[in-house]
Parts: sequence; structure tokens; C-alpha cells
Amino acid sequence: MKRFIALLAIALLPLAASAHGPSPQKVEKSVTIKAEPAKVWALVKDFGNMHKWHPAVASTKLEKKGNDTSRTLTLKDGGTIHEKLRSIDEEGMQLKYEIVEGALPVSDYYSVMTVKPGPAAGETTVTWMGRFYRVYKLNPPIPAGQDDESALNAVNGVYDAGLANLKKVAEGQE
Amino acid sequence: MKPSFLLPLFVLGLTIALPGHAGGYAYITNQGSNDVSVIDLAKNTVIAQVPVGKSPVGVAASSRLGHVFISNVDGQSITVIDTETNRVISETPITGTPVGMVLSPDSKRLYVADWFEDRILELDTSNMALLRQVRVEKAPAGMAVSPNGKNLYVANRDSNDVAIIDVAAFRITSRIPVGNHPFGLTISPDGNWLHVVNVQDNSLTAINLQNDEIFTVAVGEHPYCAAVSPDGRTVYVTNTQDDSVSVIDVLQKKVTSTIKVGGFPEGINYDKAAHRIYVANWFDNSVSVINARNNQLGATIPTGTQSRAFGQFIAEAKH
Repeated sequence: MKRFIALLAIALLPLAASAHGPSPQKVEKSVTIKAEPAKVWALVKDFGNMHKWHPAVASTKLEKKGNDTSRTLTLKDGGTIHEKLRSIDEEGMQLKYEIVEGALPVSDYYSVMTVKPGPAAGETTVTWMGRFYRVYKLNPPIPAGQDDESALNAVNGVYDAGLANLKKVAEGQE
Repeated sequence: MKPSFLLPLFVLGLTIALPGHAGGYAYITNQGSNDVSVIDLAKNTVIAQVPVGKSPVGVAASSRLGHVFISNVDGQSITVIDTETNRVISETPITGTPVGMVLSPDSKRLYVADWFEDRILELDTSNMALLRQVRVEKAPAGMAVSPNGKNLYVANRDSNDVAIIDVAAFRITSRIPVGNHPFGLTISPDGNWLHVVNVQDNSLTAINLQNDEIFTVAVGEHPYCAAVSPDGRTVYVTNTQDDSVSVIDVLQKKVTSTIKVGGFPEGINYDKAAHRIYVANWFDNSVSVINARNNQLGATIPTGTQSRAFGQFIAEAKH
């Protein structure tokens, strides 16, 4: 009987995973870069070359199937993240993508990167926003590493490191 | 005091008092700042930030009661705000996870969707006592009540249908299959049409409740909520991942216009008094105002952080 209950619990897992909780989390980060917006936008919109500016990404593999564009990021610590491109808006200099699956402790992750002219001439402001849920989608108690804090810490880390290095690359320091 | 001082004070008093009567107020839940932004619709400015429970999402405003009900998802409670003072009257703990809410037409009952436990709760608005509950399908989200108060409609996000609950018996009488992941829904003022937003299908399902006619219209990416015009002819849908609102003509059964709004628009309501549409933007911490007469974007009003405003968030002015 115990074994049956265990099997039943496993069988029910995918069902539970298809739902997400009602409280999405948000991270929004910005950086000012001393480079022309067009130059920064060229780096940001290059969906298949994220390793050129993100320090945690070792390589990027671009895949196209029909109208869908996706990429697999191989991280320097060995994990991978599979992401799908949602849209590239050339006029608004805005890139939208989502995580299909991967190493980050998040679910239903959706992100927008926006490039705009900066505070002074020849400067650019890049804003990176993410909306996502924690991994554990049911009511407390929440298992360690699957809570809101873990999800927020991971995304904050990705955005901070990424924007700092994007600045260096765009300004020609690296 | 010289008489000349009295006149400006008198005029000032009038200008403060009048706009409220003209336009009513919007109550915008801000999930990130755990508060509610109160917008004076005559001026389109925030006149108060009311602290509520943790992660407020749902809202149900009643000008009849002078109360606004707020569901705090992470706080697992419902906050009641007095619209005269913009102060909190009470906070009632809920066993479960309250998200969607709707009031009966006479405002005597509040229906609350419990997201995780798949139940609908019926509360007495005079004392917030739990009266009845009914189990529905998976992840109940948006709700609407028929104008005669007899039927309650519930979008079940994870079972892809709408449950029709007979309010008198408080049990499900039928279920209508819709698209994938229905979240928000709204009913036309005459009670003839139910409009259901299918998040994963990027579509709106329109259901004629008189003759069971159903049609589907493609909208933008990852749509969430819908509002309907007073004449029932036009439906407005927020497209969260397109940062836009689709305008649907119900007779033509098609999208006639798409309006750019703020980032990640969620809750949407139609203000009958001024024929404007108010949209809460989760990414931008703001509310976008659309002129319904020409479908042009007007004011953008800064609110609290992560604005959601899921439900009936406009309290019309009392007449």
C-alpha cells in the first residue's frame, strides 16, 4: 500500500508542476553604458551570441524550427538553460524571451531587455526585467532552494553580472 | 478675518469635493508594495496609498457599501477598505489562497476563489463570515456574476473550462469547455455574453449565454483579463507579453484595434462615467488610461509596485 501511495505521488507530480502559484516575482535592473545605443542594441539583440557579453555563459547554441527561435546556453559551471525568443522590436530596441527549462531555480520565467538613449549624448541605458515564479508551486512548507528568495537571488545574480559585463564589453574594456 | 479671505477657501473646498462625485475612484492592488493605490478618476491622480496584507491581487469594489475588498494572496486574508476615509476597516484571515473575487449585484455576498484548494467561498459582506463553500475544478481564477445574481461563473485555469454555479443551491450546474488556461472573465451588463481570456491560446472565448453560441477571437501574447463596454458591443483584453490591449467588436467577431499600453498589463476596467479604460501595468508600476471613444492612450498614472488590479476595481460615484 505504501508503495502504491508513493507511485501515486510520483504520478501526480507532473500535474502539480503544470500549475504555478499566484505570486509572480520581479527583478528589474538598469545600467548606464558609455557607448552609442545602436552599438549596445547590436550586442543585446544578438540572441545566438549571449556568451559574448554575459560572463556566466560559456557558449550559446542557436536553433531555429519553423517560426520559433531558441537558444541553449551552456554555463561556465556546467549547467544549461534552454530559452525561447519571443520577439525582437528593432524600433523600440526591445528583446523578449522566456526560459523553457534550465539550471535557474525559477519557473514560468519571462524577460524583457530594453535599450534606450542614456542620460548624456553617446550614452545608453539598458534595463533588464524578469517575471517568474518560484520552483515550488504549492502552499507552504516550501522545500529549501525552491522558495521565492532562491529564485530572486538567482535572477538578481544573473542580471547584475550580465549588465556589469555588458557595460565593459560595449565600452571596449574587454 | 477680512471677508476676502473666505472666498478662496470656499472655492477650494468646492474643487476638492466636486471631482469625486463626478468620476468615482479606482483601487489598484500593488503586489510588490503590499498596498492599494486609490485613483481619483476625475483627475487621474493617486490620492491615497492604503497599506493592506501581503501580496494583494484581487479586488472587488462596491460603491453601494462604500467598501472595497482586497485579496492578499501571500497574506492569506481579505482586507476591507472604507472608501470614505481610505482606511482599512478589517482584515479577515482565509484558510486558503484567495485570488479572484466578485460581489453579488446587491453587494451582500462576496465570492472568493481559493486558488490552491479549488474552492469558491461565499462570505457575508456585513461581517465577513464564511457562509458556504463549493469545490470547483483546478485553479479557479476570474469570476463573474449574472446581473440577476442567479449564476456565478468561474474560470478554472488548470482544467480549461468555466464552471456555472447556481447561487441559490451553491453547486455547479454545468461546465463550458474553453481554451487553454482561462484566467480573467467578464460578463456583459445585459448578462447575454460571457467573455473568457485563454492565456496559453492567445485568444478570447465569447459565450452567448442565451443561445449557447460560442466564438473565439485571436488576441495578443499571453492575455490575462477582459473588460466590456456598457453597451456590451466592445471587449478589451490585456495582452501581458505584448504590452497592449486588443479591442474586439462582438458583432463583427474580430479585433478592430490594438492599443500599446504599459509593460505587462493585467487588470482592466471600463469607467462608464467618462468612457475610459483603465489598465494596471505590472512591469511599469503604473495605470494606463485609454479613451474609449477613439481608442487612444491618454494619461499614465504612477502607482505602487507590481500593479495587478484583478477584478472590479472601479467604484462608481454615488448619485
